[in-house]
Amino acid sequence: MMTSVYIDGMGLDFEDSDGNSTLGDLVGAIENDIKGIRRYVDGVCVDGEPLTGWRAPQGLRRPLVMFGEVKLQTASFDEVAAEGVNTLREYTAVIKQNIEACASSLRRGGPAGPEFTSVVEGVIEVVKTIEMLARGGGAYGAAFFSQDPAPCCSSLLDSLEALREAACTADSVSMADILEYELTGALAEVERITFFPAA
Amino acid sequence: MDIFNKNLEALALKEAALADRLRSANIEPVNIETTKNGDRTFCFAGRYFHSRYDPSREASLQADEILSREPDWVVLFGLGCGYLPARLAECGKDKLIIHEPSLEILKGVLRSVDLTALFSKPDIHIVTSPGEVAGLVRSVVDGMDGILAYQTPPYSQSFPGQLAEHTQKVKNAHTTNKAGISTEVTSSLKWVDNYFANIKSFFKYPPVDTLKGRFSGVPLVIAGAGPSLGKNAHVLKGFRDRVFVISAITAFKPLLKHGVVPDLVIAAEKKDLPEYFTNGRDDLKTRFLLAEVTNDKMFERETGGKFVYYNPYSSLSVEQARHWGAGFFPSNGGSVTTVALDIGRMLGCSPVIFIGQDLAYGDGKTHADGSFFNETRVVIDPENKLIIEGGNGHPASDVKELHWLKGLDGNPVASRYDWVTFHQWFEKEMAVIKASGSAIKVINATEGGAFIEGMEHRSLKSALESYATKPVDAARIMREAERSRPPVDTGGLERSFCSILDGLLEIRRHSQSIVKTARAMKKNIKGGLTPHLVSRIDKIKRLEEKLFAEADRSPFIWETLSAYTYSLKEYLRKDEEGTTEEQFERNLIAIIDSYGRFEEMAERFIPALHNAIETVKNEAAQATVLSA
Repeated sequence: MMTSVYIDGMGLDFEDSDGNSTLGDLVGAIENDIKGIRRYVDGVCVDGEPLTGWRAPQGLRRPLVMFGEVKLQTASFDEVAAEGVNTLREYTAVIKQNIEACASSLRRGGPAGPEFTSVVEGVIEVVKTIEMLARGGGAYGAAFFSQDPAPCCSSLLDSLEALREAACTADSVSMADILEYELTGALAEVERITFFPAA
Repeated sequence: MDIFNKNLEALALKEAALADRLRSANIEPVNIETTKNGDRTFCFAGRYFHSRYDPSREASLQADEILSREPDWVVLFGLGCGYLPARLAECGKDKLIIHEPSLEILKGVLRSVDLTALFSKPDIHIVTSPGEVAGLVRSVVDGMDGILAYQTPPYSQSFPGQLAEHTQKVKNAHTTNKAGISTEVTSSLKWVDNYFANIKSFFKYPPVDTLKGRFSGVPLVIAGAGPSLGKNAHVLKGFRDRVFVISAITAFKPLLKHGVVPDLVIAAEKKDLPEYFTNGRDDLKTRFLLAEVTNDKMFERETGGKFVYYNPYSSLSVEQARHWGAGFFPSNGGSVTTVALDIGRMLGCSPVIFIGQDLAYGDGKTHADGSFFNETRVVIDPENKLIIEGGNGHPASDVKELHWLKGLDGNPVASRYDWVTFHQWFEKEMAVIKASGSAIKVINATEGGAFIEGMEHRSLKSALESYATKPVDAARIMREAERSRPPVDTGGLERSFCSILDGLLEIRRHSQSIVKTARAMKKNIKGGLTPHLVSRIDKIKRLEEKLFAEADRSPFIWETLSAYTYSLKEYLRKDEEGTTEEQFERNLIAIIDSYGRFEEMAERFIPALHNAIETVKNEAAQATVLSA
């Protein structure tokens, strides 16, 4: 049985004559075709269900013959990039507010509070967004940063690791310092090197 | 001079012993690091104690929180590098008690941070132990003041055990302060009444001073009525003829139950307590040791004899004790067993052995079996921190605040606020005894309840086996003492009472004038604060000055007014809003009320003074007849 392939809801004639093609082959071929119009594959549904982890190597290696139907959704890189840049702006602003509340509580002997979780999750999201923008920018010839953002991501992740270690020893002074100075400094650097569109 | 010596020099002016200890301590001080902004911090036990970036800003944040709660005193657990106390002082909050639990930290900080400005503030105190904190709270903080105990996170995380003890001690010490006020408010007037009612008895019964030094080297057992008394009172019976025994009034019947008749039963109750006695032959086998302010019915009770002790908190006693032949004012921690300790020292006893001094609930009871509180049962609800008592002497369900003390085995024992105050006093007194270099040995042989720092803890049996080795004829010694009493100085007493009476008459006259003037001012205030009205304030001030000068001759008048004085103090602390005229009127009302009470008290005691003078004259005449 042949696998039915759709792209943005439209049927596609994809030839898998020897039955050896993988999902990666399909996505690679499609992205090659739509790259010119600055689009890329953004999501995959197989047999009516969204497929998770498909971008991972093991996901892309899966043979197409396993699936009866594969639906691909594409997205405009420019739209996604704009959304990513906005995400960076919003997240950094919110994280800074939460850092202030969290550090103030820690310095006065209070708990880190729900703001702490929000800071950690926010920073992870910021790092993921930076990496996505950096990767996409390279592929589509777009520049979102004034310089290589990799050191910024390292700083953010180092701060998270230091925060985790300080939390393990209940060193609330160090936690507050990392939040208020190190993490805040790294976020300021992200803001400094990112090309934000005028609001 | 380097920073360390400069700091120690400044510290020595208020805490000389601590400065010496730091100078000679062979300890490894913490390593002080420089922060990003040039301040100081340090890492202790794996934790930073100040921000590595901006400790001053961090301290400001903490100070803002403290200041928002508007305490009169701040008790800080942890000095750190001194940023927080410095910031508080900068904001005008300079009534601080600082407890630094680590000498390593303190020494390290003093070697690197100049704290001389902080140490030079008169109301900033630095100590290194929970006991010292408690002592300071007792001595420098007023019971009406609000205290805020504060600690920064690294201190609470690094010294949890010390912090728990510190917090408990601060709480207990402040409870003691408040209890002192409460006692004064509820008792002062009655004590003055009792003093006047007991004047005839003071002629009849000798002061306890007559026993001074007569029991040198004799072991003294002081029996309280704690729940554990039943565990070892029977041991005392076997050694009874080789020790001197003073029993708290509440422990009298429980001791009798174990076949022990005490030599003295000490009491200071302001009301009559017939239920504490047998009203039979056993009462006659013992003597009473009564405070001068004890209810007069207690002096009338039939016993084998009576001695009187005079208290330093009674200004009448301070003024007149010498005329009664007394010069000894025992230290008083609020209970008769605390008084008995100092009396024991005056008698020359050694060792002093406590039993039944639980200062805590035990086995669901408040007191020993056989006491008046026999039926009382205790339920502790740790969740709500409540204790419910019933039985004799308590309502069916009496809810009390729960306090905790360190028990004999180190675990907390449940206590209540008055016992906590006695415990505080005992530990402080033991420190005083130790500091004085006294050789007296004080043993806590109570077999339950609270651990008392500074006392030796051992069983009653072992203590008595060691020290109760020779017979003591206590009855003979007391009889000899009774016979040796010096005559009462009736001339001195008469002059003293007459002077007090003159003072009271003047107080009454000035009070009446002030009340009259203030009432007239209040009537005219509707026309606004006219220059004439304002000029009357000067008249009131002049009258007040005269009245206060007279009050110096009759200082007990302040004791009779203590309840009102505290409520007036509360009024003065309030910052009530209103126009100038409204505030002026409120102040006038307060003046009328205050001096109305002065007048009332003068009226009340003028007849008592006339009676006292009459009694003294009669006794003097009788003495003359007898001597002739």
